[in-house]
Amino acid sequence: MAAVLNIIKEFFVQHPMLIYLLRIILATFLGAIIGLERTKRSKEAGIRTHCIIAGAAALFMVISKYAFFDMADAVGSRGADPARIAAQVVTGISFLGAGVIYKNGNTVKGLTTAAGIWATAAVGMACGSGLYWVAIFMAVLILGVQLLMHHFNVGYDAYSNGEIRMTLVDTPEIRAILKEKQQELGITIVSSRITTCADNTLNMILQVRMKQNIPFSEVLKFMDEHPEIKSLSI
Amino acid sequence: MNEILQGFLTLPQVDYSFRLLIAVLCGAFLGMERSFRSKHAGLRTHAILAGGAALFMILSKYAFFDLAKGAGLQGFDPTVIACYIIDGSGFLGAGIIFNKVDQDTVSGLTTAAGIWATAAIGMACGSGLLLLGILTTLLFLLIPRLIAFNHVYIAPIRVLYLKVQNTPALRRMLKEKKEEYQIQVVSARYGRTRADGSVSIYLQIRTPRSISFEDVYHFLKAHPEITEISI
Repeated sequence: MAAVLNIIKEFFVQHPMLIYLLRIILATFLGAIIGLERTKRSKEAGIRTHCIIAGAAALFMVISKYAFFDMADAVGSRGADPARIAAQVVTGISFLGAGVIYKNGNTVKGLTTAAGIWATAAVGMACGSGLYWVAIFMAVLILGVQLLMHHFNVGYDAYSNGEIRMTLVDTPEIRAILKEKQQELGITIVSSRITTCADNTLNMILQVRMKQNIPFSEVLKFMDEHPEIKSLSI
Repeated sequence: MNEILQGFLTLPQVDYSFRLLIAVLCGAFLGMERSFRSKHAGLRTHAILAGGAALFMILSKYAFFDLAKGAGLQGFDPTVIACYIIDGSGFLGAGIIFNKVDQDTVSGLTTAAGIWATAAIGMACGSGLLLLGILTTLLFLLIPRLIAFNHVYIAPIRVLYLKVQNTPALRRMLKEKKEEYQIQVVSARYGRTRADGSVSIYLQIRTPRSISFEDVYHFLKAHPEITEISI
């Protein structure tokens, strides 16, 4: 048994490229695990994005650390800094992350995904440099935070941001119904824009925070029951 | 048994993992404070960000030890990766700042600064300065409490837009409302928009009171001179 292990070890020492490849594969796998959770929540950046990011970060790390051995004794070189390329990954990935953040009016989306992409790159780099256990632990930690904290939300974390546009004929009845709906669905209005039109019609654009998404069929049913509402978009 | 446990705990990768855990917890507490104040970035964002920063720090310091003795790589600098955490978290923060060009205001600054600070705390934890990281977390948790008193706290700028028929009665009423809501006007812009004589008023205001949707709605309903209002 020990002899077989020794042979395997010897083989990998003679072929370091294979070790690097295994590191990249591990990074891709960890990226996939992190990305799976995002995909299930139907976020923009999903399993493929996270896979590629983690794998690429690992490759950058390998290049940074091991691609300059042949330059070590080169004439005129004072020695390469093996961390230099790896360092740029940190800024590079934050550009990608910032691109995921999506702003609309007063609301923002994609923040957690952006932070997750950043951390995924860190996991990939840890794999690439050979700190496997740290990488695995971090991936589990990220997953734990994402999964646990979606079950136990604190404060306003439970709310998602959205915009409601509505055109309606303003009657006391519809006012009461809308108020009831608002309470039932747990909608908080952050900011509003109301325009009066002819024939007692109001045009509203509301920035809201809501606890759950409203299914398409509910909206249709609601529209059907209340002819006062002329248009509605959520 | 005890010896095995001690041996396990002193393994470098176990130590690093423990630092990651502390960083994530620090980030989680910071994020919790933000999310209770109904900010955009909450617990998950801050926790993951702090963990990421800690891991980058660990990589920066310890991921190159195996090269140190070999191959004549004298140029190694253990701070290089850590340097870029500052840039990187700054970029992420910049993604949150709303630059409302049309309204001449900016919002989300404190959240962005908080994200930057969270990265710093993550770095402290990652480098092994665990106590410093924890104490700084406590300090940052205290700061908003300390300055939340009314005489120090300045209400954020909000934009109020009105389209009205310019009558003396309306002007009087607006003045009353201004006093009722203790509104402080930062800047104002007026424009005559239509042939029917309606005037659009564009105000940047600060008010210690919150203005709810109901208030806005009743205000609009009570005054037929107002055709459009947005806050």
